[in-house]
Amino acid sequence: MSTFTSRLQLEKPSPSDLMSDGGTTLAANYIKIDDVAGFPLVTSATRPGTPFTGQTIRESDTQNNRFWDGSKWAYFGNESNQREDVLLNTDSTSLTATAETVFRSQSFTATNGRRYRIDFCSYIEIVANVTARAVAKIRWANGASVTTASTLLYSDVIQVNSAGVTGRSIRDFTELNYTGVTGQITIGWFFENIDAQSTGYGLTTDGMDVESSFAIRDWGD
Amino acid sequence: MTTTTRLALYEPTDTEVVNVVTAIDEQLDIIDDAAVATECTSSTRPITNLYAGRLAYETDTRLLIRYNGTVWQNMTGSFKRPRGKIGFTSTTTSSSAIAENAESGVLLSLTWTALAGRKYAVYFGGSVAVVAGNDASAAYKIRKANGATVTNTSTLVFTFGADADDNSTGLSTRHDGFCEHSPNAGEITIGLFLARPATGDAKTVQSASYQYLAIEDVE
Repeated sequence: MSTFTSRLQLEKPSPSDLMSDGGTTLAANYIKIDDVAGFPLVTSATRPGTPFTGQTIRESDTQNNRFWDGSKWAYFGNESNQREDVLLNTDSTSLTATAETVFRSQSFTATNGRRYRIDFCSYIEIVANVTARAVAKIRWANGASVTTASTLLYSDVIQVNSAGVTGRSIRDFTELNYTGVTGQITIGWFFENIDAQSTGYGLTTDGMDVESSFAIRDWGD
Repeated sequence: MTTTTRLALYEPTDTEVVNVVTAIDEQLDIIDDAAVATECTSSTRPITNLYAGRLAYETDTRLLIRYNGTVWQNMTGSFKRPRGKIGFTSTTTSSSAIAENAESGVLLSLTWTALAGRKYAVYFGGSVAVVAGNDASAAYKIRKANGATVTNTSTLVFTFGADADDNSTGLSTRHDGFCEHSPNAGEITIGLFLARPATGDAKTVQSASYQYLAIEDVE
């Protein structure tokens, strides 16, 4: 009675099998070997349904080379290279404050030895009075939350004029070179008005709803 | 008896009466083990039938490794890699002046073939100058359309506050921003526009100085 190999399910005939069946068995085995040779061309919708660990494919629609790591179709690359985003999003989050207050934040699992680039852009407008200096700050902390006492990564001043008429924009980035134990950290984007005037961040401008972007990405080691 | 050069598969001679177990079954086991990338751990890497180019996948480190003829080398990580620049364009030509409740453009645009499941970052910037009146509210807008053309009625992707402040040097104010976009697969065009909200005033502004639009595959 035949048995089967564990990965490709190749049929191994027993010594007592009739040789007249041998051709059929061999042909079926060759087809299975042929099917997985190199990087078989599939699409993201037609990946092999029962892959074995280490199996490789090429997706024609996404142009991805991938391999089955035992639980998912993983990607090829070099360990030192830039990796996928931790966060890249845009929305209409707004804030009106005088004291330093968190504007956006994101928790994720940071890996020891990796560098994380934090990009941000927003629109800032005076809500009361005429001019003010708004300070944008990036802080980070271990764990699931970040506060105004957390480690400061970045700080810069933006001069804002003309209450309710014209605002200023900010667009900048900084880096966290993470050398701690691999685990959860939180990065926060804060605003503070050092002139103690009420300032709006990411508000509407004359009824036009404006947005802000906050991005964190692993950009190498 | 001869064997193949890489996997050392048993090659019977034409006249040999073969043993099914040794000539077929054991060879199939070798093929099965080596197929594409051998499944192993970092402590059980293949030590027989090694050849330059042989692949193995370490389940404990989640690394795909390749034997270079001497040692095993890492090939992969389990990460979706950014692919970098898609396009970049810039100009120093000023846009036409726009009044309240109007939109100028397309100022700059880029067309490319988006891939399924990819995420793109859109970077843009320019100076917004006062043409008539004083402080004027305005915004840069990013719009998208399928195909090769984008207009000021195309789908809005992002709106970024970009007011013109007449207290600024040269009566213009610099604004740079970015946003993300995950389009459907196929040809797509992203465009940069400048708009003024419906304020009812007589102020006009224009996009001036160095203006740019860049698109990067980030995930």
